[in-house]
Amino acid sequence: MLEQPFMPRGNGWLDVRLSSNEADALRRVATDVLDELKDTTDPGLRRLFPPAYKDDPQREEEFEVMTRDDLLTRKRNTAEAVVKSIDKGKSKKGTWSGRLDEELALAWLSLMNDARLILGTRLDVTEDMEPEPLPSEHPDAPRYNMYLYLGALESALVEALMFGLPPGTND
Amino acid sequence: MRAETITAPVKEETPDTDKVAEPERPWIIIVWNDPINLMAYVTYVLQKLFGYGREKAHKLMMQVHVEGKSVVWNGAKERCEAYVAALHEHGLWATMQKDD
Repeated sequence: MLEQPFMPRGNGWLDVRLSSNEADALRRVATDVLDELKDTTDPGLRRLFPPAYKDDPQREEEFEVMTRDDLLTRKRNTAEAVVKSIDKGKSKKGTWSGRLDEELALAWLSLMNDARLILGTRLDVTEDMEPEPLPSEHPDAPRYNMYLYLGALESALVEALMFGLPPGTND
Repeated sequence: MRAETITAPVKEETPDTDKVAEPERPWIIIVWNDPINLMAYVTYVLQKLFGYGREKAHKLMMQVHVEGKSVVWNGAKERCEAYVAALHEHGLWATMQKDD
């Protein structure tokens, strides 16, 4: 990852610089998420669609009827927006650069988080797992190393977005 | 450990003087710990959605992390449902229930 991939430009805009390989990988992550969203009953997606009511099946059913389609549409739109924004950026001499408005920056954030939720669920990650890449011969290496990479990229994006938040209230 | 109910100011709401204040605020939103979401991300989402300052959002996030859950908001059922839907959109593991 390049140093400071996300540079706040004011008014919620971010300048983004990634290696072209990273931009390609992130585009693939977004299209993979779109594929995954075709089957929302897959247990790997359970963290994307958690219940609102733990112990109230009737209310939970009503909540799902009311919100589920909208949630799925939003997640699809988010992944599609990321794909489009990567295609819109410029790749030159191995570096991809692009500019995101606040809405797109949030789409990137949600997409990375959705992808991590799917990967993390499939890999059954725990809090005490070492955040060290697995050696390439390990069968989980591609997915776990992508999970770690997305975590690092997401951290950098959160930091850039925190910069633009209003102070808020602490009481 | 039982999470305490936290009374939070509501962002984006102008006082409606024509309406009688709700006599009680019986619903709470709980965010549960999970091993995937980044701590800074959870803090950011709480700031963004509820208009909390960094200090308060960080405190709630730490409570989720250390105690396994935290009550992040309380209020009317419909508003809780809207917030829970928004929390789910952001990938947080949030549920709601009557505060009894």
